Amino acid sequence: MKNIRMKVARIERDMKQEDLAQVVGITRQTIGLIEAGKYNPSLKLCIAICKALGKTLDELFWEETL
Amino acid sequence: MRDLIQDERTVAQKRKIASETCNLLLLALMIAMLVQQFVLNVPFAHYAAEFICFFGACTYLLIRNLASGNSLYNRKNTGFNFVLLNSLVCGFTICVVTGIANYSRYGDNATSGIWLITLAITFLCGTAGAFLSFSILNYLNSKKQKNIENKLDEEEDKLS
Repeated sequence: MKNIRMKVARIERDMKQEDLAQVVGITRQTIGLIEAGKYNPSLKLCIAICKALGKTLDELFWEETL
Repeated sequence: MRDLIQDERTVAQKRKIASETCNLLLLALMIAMLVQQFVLNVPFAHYAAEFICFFGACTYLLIRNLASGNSLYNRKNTGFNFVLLNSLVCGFTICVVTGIANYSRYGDNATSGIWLITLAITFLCGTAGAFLSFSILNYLNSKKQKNIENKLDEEEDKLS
């Protein structure tokens, strides 16, 4: 499932995927895969992304429908 | 629900163990080849199997990493200087290993002048060969990474 919330949060901060990848310390490809819903990040990576975007885990990664 | 979830920790740990086993196996193959070639001086047919397995596995690793778009090096700046430095180190290593092996076999027959010329030619050939190989790998790696970047840019434009 695509992570639109993460993408929106990134755009709100005026960040490109490359910028976010650099802040978090991973590759742009990984950010792209996470946003496309093709890769499940670890909890540690989720927390790092949340810190970089100034959001909580719930706001970015909680699944609304199970 | 319980059947659908895999224990990620154990899966990751098993993968890590398999990866370490693969690395150890490659190292053992390399050592076996070097010992048979330079210490025991056996004909190629005796260690052909190790040779094929080692270089086959290395080629597979390279191709899979290139195809996945993974960077082959753990650094950002992999331009001309990096390739040149790598080539010089490889050329030097080849020169030293070949020099030692040749000296142990033919050391009594050669004069110092011939030795130096042989070492110089070996170093130059080794460096040139390594430079060509690294340049090709670098080019393929960069090309694949650019393709991935372009695809990501297209997806960004679609959704925005």
